[in-house]
Amino acid sequence: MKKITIIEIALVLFLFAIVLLPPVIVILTGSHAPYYPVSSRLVDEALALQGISVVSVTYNAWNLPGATGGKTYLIIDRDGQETRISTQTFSSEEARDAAIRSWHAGGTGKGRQAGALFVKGETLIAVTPSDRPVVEILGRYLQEK
Amino acid sequence: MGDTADGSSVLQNKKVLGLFALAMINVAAVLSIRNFPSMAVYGWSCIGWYVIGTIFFLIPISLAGTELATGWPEGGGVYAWVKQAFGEKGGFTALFCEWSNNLIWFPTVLSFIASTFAFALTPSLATSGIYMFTVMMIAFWGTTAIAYFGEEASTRFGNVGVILGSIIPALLIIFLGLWWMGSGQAIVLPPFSIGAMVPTVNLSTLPFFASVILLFAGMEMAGFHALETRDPQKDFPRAMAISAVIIVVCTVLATLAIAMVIPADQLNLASGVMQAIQYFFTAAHIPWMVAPMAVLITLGGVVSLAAWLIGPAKGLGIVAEEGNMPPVFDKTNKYGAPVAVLVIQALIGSAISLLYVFLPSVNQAYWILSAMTVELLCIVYVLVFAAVIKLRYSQPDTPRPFRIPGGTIGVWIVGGLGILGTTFAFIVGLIPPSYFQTSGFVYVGSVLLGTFLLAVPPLVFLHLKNPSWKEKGGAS
Repeated sequence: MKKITIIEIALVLFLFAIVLLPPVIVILTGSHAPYYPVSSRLVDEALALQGISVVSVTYNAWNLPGATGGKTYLIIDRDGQETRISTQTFSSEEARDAAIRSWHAGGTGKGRQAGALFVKGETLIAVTPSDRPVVEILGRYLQEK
Repeated sequence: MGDTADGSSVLQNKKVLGLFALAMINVAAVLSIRNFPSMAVYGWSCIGWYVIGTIFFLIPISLAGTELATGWPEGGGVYAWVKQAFGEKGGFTALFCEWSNNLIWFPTVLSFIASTFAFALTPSLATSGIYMFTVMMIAFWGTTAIAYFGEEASTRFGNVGVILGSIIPALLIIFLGLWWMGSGQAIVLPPFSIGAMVPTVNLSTLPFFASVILLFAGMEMAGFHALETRDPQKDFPRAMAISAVIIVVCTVLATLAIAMVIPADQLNLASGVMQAIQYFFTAAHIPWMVAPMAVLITLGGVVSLAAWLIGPAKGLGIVAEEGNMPPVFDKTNKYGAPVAVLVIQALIGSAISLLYVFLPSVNQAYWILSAMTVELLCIVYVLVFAAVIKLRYSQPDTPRPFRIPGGTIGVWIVGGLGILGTTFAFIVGLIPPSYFQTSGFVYVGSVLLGTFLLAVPPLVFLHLKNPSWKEKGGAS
């Protein structure tokens, strides 16, 4: 029977602690977005304020539990590149949070999603692709709001 | 091998892996249906993104991995390769980064598995924390249990799983795309042009650039199974080539099929791959295929999880066997599986999954964790590419059944492209997305600190290394 020394036990505990530390700190210190009613015209206002014209607006329903509907805005910039901003309201905080997890679970490979996701109260705002100037504009507006 | 959990001596590693099994390990690790909708939103320019990933990563890692795996067909994969070039510190650090990035990534892929499986049952289950955690744990501990039964069991599961869960769904999507085109239905992509394939590369795209570079991460996975490979010198090069072709063909064609059939406004990334699949099959008048497809894609997720879960754990088992970790990590069962590492890994992964599911979702926290995963992977690959270059100088005469063509210049080009791509990915991984609401300083600090903590344990273990660890571990 081999004896396990204190240093060995300490090293096992050290491994547990140091590996768990980053995700625990990041998740616990991250600011959870509160759930509250949000104007359905939030994106319209943001785009109008910046003088961004929208090519089309359609109503949509994300195929996710608790999703209660939203709008998809199509923007085409001077170079002809299309950007879609899709909003969705959720019936509960749990449903909204599940949608956020679902978003992050869809990242490419072991990396990130191809779009940008904003959380504002009961609403998620997804912008695809994420390489368009409107993403930054919208982000700034939502932060100030 | 090391110590066994029941005190008996371990069987010699069985040579159970042939060409097909090796190729399937890589395919399982890399080919993921999960990626297709994310890339399809870029339309034709997804081709350009894939080309970038292929030039700066897939080709370099395939060539470097093949040369290293055939030259040093030892257990431990990246550990053995980097150790040859930079010693134990380098090898252990590379392996540990490969292992620790998985621990952060596991909840993401487990969450994907659980929510996709919910689609086959009742989609609303995905909002239930209890359901999500239960399925995640069944998948995680079930995969760990398969790994417990050694290489033969894992290989059988992996071979069947990757065909059913990754290759068949991808082929189905491709064939449906071809049928769509052939039947004269409307193609939602704009007309093809060379210019349309060119991706937009600017400051806003850079964070995504890092993800694309590492889109094909995992091509080195077969290297962890060198000890169980029947003829590594002959089989590794062919397995790398076969797996690279399968991955590229399936990925590019299936992504284009989705992009051609599904209108961009229906490609909702939050709903993930299953909404795309549902739209696809409904349009093809076979909506009954959605639930079986959800089951297959769930299986594909589990197989991918298994590939990442088993390889680095086996490597860590080798590190412990060599006396670089306390003997408690060097418990190997009668099937040759590193049971102590597997259990520790499963416990840590379960704890992180618990936080992931039951704590309120923190959008930006997930973003930071994903950035840490990328940074740790970059460390692994920079070390691997640097190793293939250095070994040409430090061990020029070691027989390499496969050599990167072009002599020293060739190895510098291949290794250099790989280092360039992964270093660039590392740097841009530190740039917060332009719309990030946390201050840049907090973002960079969090990512760097987390990466440091998840990379540093090997240095602590080696500093405290005790000769008795090897004696105890190797006593059996």
